Amino acid sequence: MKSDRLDELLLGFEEDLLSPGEMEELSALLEASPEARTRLVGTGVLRETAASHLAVLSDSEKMSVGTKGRRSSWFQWRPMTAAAAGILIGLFGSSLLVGGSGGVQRFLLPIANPGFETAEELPQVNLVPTAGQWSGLDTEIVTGGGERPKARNGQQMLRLGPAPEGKGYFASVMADLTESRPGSFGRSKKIEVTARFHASEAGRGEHYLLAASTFAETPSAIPDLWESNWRMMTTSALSSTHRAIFPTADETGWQTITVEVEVPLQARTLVITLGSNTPGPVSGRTDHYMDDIEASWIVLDSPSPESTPR
Amino acid sequence: MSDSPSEPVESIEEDALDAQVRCFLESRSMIQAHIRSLVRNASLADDLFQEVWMRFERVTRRGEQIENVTAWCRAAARLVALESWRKQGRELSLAESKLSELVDQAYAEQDGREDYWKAHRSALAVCLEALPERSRELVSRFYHREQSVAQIAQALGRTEGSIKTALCRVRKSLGDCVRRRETTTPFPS
Repeated sequence: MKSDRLDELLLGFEEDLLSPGEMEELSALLEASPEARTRLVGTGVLRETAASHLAVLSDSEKMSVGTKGRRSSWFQWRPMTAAAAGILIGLFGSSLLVGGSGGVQRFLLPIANPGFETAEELPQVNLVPTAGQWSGLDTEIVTGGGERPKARNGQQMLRLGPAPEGKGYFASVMADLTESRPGSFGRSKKIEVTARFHASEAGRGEHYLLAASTFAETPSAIPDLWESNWRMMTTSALSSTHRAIFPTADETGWQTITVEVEVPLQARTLVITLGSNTPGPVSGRTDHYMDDIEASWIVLDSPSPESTPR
Repeated sequence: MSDSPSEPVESIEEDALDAQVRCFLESRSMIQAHIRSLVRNASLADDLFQEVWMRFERVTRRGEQIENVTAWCRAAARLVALESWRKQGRELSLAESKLSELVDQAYAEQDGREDYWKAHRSALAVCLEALPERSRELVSRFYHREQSVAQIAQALGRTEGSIKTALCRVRKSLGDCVRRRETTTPFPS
């Protein structure tokens, strides 16, 4: 078997970039060799393992940046309210550097009530037409402990009710990107969002989703794009990403999901959506909890494609 | 009993149902890998995996028994992928259909080797951590952040060819590392 050629073709296959001729070439190699077919499975397993393992590593590294004495500590902004974040940003300009290393800088992206420590009634609609307000069907801010799990930090957390008819339930918030966009013009920008989820009964097939999408429209125009769920919204988004977790019976306690979304120059609004889905009959379903939402700008050294001089 | 999402099935008790759900969850990495290989698009693969789960859950909740969960999920994944492509108006060429069949065959041949792949994933996790920083960055961009070769090349100011070569090299190095750690035969005899 031509090993190097197989590697090249598998890489192209993973990217869905093979020409018809290359597809036939790969088919011939796979058809002829069990080892090649096992290698194909191996590339799939590598992708899944790397994606999940590097996400965990990335999360733990970020949390430990401060203790390793790097240039500046990862900003533990969980106890800080959005209002306080706003004051800090007002003091330091439009963007607050919270960390950075190796040509990458992180800036705080304030989102509303990130730890749900501010008691408020949430609008029971999919998305309210204003930035800085969580909303969603059957969602509320509750105090942790007792029959509920303890909040991951502080006292309060977000509860999502069990959704009927096998559909997921979602809570969403918008952030106005024009208020916090770092001023480093001409450099690529991304937003990283992290959220924590607590399964009511781990190992029962419950799954949790974190989605982040950017839009060219201002926040007030976004709810019109929302038809029934985040999947529909993504067709109108400039950029979008999501990730789901399926806690096993061993994975009790708070679980973390992190996503990164590219931010085109024209993006004005970010929508963050937290989702839960529980299998089984409605009668047996239980509540889901979310807490500790973090968002940050990531500014890369590489030039932004939109701003490259012609 | 059924290995296919559309075949009739027998009723089962709650314990057996839990066992099936556990089996699904234990096999989820392989199911996800299969779907990703089938559709080669991260977002679509995530959506399809959730759809497969929902169909699996509906079937098992109806009291139907699935003898081979991974085989059932492969068949379900194939169905939902076809439905999704149809909705998008995408028609598979003969070459793509042939490749999809070979993807199914490749994963089907791994049935019964769950312990091998479990050990493989554990070894892979250790090897990923041991990668030099530059290589890990590359792997992270390609697999974790789902950047394309073209995007990585642009971000790092390198050519696509050099990124492809580097990725192939890192994958080979990971393969060597995993083989050193494995105690079972890497390929079926």
